[in-house]
Amino acid sequence: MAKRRISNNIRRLRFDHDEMTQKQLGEKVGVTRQTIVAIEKAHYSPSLEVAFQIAHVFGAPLEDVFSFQPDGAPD
Amino acid sequence: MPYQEKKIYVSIFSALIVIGFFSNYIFGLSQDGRFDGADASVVMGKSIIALIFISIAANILLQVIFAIINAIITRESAEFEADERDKQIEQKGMQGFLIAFSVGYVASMAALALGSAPHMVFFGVTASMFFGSIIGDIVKLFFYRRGF
Repeated sequence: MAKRRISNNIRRLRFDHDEMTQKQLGEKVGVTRQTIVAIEKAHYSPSLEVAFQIAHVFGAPLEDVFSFQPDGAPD
Repeated sequence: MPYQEKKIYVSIFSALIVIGFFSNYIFGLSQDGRFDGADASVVMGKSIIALIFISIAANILLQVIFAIINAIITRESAEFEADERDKQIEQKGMQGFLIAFSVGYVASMAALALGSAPHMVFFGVTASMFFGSIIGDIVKLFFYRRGF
């Protein structure tokens, strides 16, 4: 499988928001719990709309939730 | 196990049952010599039309029974709405179906070119449709299991 270049801080942000569950986040964003699990594990990169919705739920800018690792950049 | 994965297992089970009964039925007709006469294509055509309606009815019935049993056992409601990841996995499954069906279709046409009876070619095309559907379901299952 190709190396995923988009990582996220959703687990930490959920923890910081009163231990919000994956199901609760999914309901707020309009996706299933399984999709939140896949996004959190960086198995699935969400659409821009869902990414912005997740950031909106946490009241954080998009770059605080998701980060992008360009090719050739140090880990 | 997520609801979508369980639904796929039911769909595979339904396809296997229908194609199993259909193969048995066609084999019986063949043994009775129904495909030896001039109306062999008519018999096959009627069988395939019946198969299409029976397979749709069987799939709906099994999905409804599954939704009821699942709701009783797990107390989770059926998920009728698909989110963006579900839709993308659905597309991957459709690709798997089309590839498998295309291979079956070409193989059936090759059999026709090599002199196979037309009713057997129709059977081959129909069977590849069902096996393609099973392959598509397996592809979906793979992506659901992996996350995407």
